[in-house]
Amino acid sequence: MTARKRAPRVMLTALVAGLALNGVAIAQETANQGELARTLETADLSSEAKALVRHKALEAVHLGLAEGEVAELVQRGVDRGVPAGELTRLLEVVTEAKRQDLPVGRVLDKVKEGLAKRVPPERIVNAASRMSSELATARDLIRQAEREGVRVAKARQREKAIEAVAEALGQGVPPSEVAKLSRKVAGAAPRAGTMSLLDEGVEIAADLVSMGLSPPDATETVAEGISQGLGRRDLNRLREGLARELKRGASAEEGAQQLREQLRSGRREDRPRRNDAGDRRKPAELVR
Amino acid sequence: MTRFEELLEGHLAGELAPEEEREFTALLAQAENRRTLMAHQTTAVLLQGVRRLPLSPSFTEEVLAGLPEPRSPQWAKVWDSLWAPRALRWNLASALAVILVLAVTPLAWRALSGPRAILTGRQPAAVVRFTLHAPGAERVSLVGDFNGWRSDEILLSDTTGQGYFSGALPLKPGRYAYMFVIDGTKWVTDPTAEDHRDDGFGNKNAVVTINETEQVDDGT
Repeated sequence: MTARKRAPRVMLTALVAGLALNGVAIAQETANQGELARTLETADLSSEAKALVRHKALEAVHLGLAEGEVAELVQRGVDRGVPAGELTRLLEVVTEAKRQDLPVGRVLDKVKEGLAKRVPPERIVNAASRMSSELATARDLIRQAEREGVRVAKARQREKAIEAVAEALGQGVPPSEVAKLSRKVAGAAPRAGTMSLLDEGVEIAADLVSMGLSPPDATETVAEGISQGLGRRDLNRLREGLARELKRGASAEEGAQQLREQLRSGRREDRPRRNDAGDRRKPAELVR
Repeated sequence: MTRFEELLEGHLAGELAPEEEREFTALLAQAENRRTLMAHQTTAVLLQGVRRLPLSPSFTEEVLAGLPEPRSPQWAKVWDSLWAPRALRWNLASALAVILVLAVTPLAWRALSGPRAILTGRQPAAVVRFTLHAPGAERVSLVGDFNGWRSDEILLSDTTGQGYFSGALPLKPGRYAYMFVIDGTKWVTDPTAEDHRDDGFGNKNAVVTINETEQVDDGT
């Protein structure tokens, strides 16, 4: 067979292979695009209610929310028996977060959590709105941190840090304390002053607060760790350190004070110690 | 090559400068150099007596054709192949086929790169075991942000028959909030969890943190 006769067959084969390869994708894409419509079609709502929900849902999709996510939210609300008006308010709070370009996943998650726990829609809206507000404040704090010199290697690190700060704000860590931590991270050793470190530090501070420490004590303890050059993994152990002190009967403040003194003196119970033979052995594993 | 031999070449070609000629003449004082000159002159006389054959017009090509093919490195062949000019023949049907494939391929990428499951990705997963002692319960499910708070998706099993419902879940490093649901209706906070957080609805979520290289047993 000459090359001239072979070429059309090769092209035809490529066409068939290409269509076959994309056939599934096309079908899947078509399926995704119809999910919202199918959800509304089968929903036990009046026509007016469906129109109301459809309008708000499409607004969310047009802003960039995945149609599957919106459809799932609508489905869960319908299954819960949430009235159309309340359902649109739930959609609105998520839409507003997206409009402000906040990490909308967290807000969506909070709404799903509320629906799953059968929380009254009004309280879900309040909790989700509060979360949005915390995310907005967190984003401002992270922007400030970057201006002060905290380095970001990837965009995802920034987003994670925003979520961690929002979580900390929700736990009662005030913005001023978060700002203190970010200045501490910015002033850390050249390669250490990263958004990942700030993310971890804020998370640990929030954990210490949940263990009973006051926010200033919590951030002071974490800041001391950062000053002493602790990395992300070592900062994690502050939580274990405080838990250990609490088990010994110390108050949270006393435990934090003890931790800070250990950090300053360079003595940490989770560091490997030399025994008499000069071997480095790890101490017994901490009990969780 | 000695200095005399260099000068001899130039002398025979008639290309020596005057000072080089004088140097050449001076070197002829040496007997060895005179013998070398005589050998060259003898050779020249012999060559003058040799019959000269006329060369064919394609003499050069014939010699080159008789030479073996040069063995170029493989990469050089590939490189030459890449840059060799080619004529591309096409028709409308083929062009439409290519356009169609190019047009729908982005749809494929977008569809296939949907939301990732929490259990896939480059980071290794840690296996976390969740356990709840719920004597008298018929069904206990694990619900959290790792599964979008779907209350009927992850069912724990009571293998002992004594009300200890347990199950293992691979989770990527990160922090996860969760609760147990007993018999589809009763939401229970894991009492053995290391960390708890307000959920904003008046309940407390248990929180499990998976560090990058760790396995957690969050329960008894």
